[in-house]
Amino acid sequence: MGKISEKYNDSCLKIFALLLMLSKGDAEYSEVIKLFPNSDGKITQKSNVTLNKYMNTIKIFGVEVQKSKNKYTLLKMPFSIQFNEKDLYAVNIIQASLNLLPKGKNKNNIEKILSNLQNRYDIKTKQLNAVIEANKNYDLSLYCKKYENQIAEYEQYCQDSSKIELIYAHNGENLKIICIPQEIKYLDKIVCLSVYSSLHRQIYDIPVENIIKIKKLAEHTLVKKICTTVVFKLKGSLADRYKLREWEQAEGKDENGYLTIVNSGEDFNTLASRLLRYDDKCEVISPESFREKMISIIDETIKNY
Amino acid sequence: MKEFKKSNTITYNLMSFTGFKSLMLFTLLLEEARSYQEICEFFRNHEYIKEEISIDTFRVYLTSLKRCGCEIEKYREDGVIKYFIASHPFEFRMSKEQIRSIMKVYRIIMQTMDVKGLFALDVFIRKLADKIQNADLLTAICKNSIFNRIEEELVEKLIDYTQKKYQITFIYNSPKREKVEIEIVADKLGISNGKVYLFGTNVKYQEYSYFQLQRITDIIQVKTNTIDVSNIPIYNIKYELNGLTPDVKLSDDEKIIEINDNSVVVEVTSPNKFMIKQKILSYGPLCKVLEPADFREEIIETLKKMREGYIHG
Repeated sequence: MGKISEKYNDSCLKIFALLLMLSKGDAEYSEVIKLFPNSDGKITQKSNVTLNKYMNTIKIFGVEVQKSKNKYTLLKMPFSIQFNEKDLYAVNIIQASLNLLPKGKNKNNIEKILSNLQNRYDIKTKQLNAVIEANKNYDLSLYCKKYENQIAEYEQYCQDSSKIELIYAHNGENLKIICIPQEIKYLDKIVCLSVYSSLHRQIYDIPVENIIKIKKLAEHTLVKKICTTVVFKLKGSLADRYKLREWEQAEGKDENGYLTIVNSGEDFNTLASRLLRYDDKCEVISPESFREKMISIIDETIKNY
Repeated sequence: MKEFKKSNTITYNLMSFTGFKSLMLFTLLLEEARSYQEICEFFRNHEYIKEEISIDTFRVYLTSLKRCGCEIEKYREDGVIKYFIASHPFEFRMSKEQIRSIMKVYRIIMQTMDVKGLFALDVFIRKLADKIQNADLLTAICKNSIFNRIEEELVEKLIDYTQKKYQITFIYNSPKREKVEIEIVADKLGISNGKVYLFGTNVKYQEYSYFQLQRITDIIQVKTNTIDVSNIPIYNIKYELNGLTPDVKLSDDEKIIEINDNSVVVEVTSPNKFMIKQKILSYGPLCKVLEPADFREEIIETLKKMREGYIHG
């Protein structure tokens, strides 16, 4: 019995190999025919007859295949997913996002996902998509296109975990930090290189447009990221309706109804700017240096008037 | 093939009968768990196959399907073994790394697109996760989504009503007053600080307001004929921005009216005074309100209160 179960059926393997090849996108005839060699492993006239036989089989099974210019295109597959207009709108948004992504891992992944999705369109979905494609107009790229090369370069630094020396412009000054690139962030329509400084134990989100120079210092670094935590209190109605960020924790309310928040890993300038929005409903508790920074910002702003 | 189409009769010359049977078996085991006997019965009654297969041949087919990349599982039910395909090479699979990339795209879109686009993407990812039964994708979208705990139907309706500027009444779960009825002329949906808001003119108070979608529990009335809201106060404020980056990111209701050596003067025209105030405060000392005087005073008062907060707690 055991011996029998190890036997396999060559036709079964061939038909699945054919379907798999077709399901991966347009298949060249020269590649498809290679699935049907003779007993010596050569492609002969008989291979064509066999190929036709297998094509007929999948067609009778319900698969629709079109041959044009020596290419086979799968039109309908029994394993296709049906998409409606709203789905295709979303797929096209993902497609448009490719303009925002620099060359690299993320872009490749998205391209692969899109190709997998599009190969599963049935004929109706393809027709619907053709109409949508003709009318689409999602311009997500203008700003990011401008910095495309820098983004690609910085993304590589993030993947390498290389320590870098970074010079950037901030409030009219040129600042220099030694840091480890973390990721490319998109903050309120601004592309930033997020870096970690082990000296300051802080995350810095530096707008790509402000970066003046980057010097790679070492190939690899093994620095454990420990960020300084900022504790602040929220007062009044804000304490009830505040939405915690992924990098925050609520520590409960005190006797006055003030909510304590512990924040770790947000760029200090971004955080300061955000907390200023909450006007007198927010008070930074610690660290002392950040509390002083907030007071100094408020004082400086009052001096403006 | 032409011959088949004409006569609707299968011949061995025309097709691979074994290949066809393996495809049929694959489909049957993909649909649901089936026993050898059930497969035989199906084959016997099939318009082209019309014959059973032996148990040995059945096993050979199963081995072949496994070789093709199918994962076949079995269990016993009422003394009968049932087989099913747990996974197969045509499945739409998404790796953890691909999920991370799609979430990155979601976060980028959140910063660059309107609510309608982001919502379409959100719904699609959830639908896809369900269709391809990918729990990791579902978990990832739930973690990143700004539409969590908001009814899909509610968002769809509000996208429609804001586009048509309808007058709507809804129940709002206010943090201060619990449930209240609010009537507004719907204007737009927007995202701020990771939350989705409905903007519009409050009919009762004749002022521009905004409401968190998570707190809207029900829409109870929709009027297509809206009241005139053209006389609500529109704020026209001028402020100076110093030492900022070359590309100042302005919102749709802002424009630069003056460019100096190290500063620009921005004019903002909006019915939403609260949002203007928040934005101006967020700039800190880089921003100075120029006019009108009463708004300038309001900003100074707020800053003084903020300072007092640090002295008196």
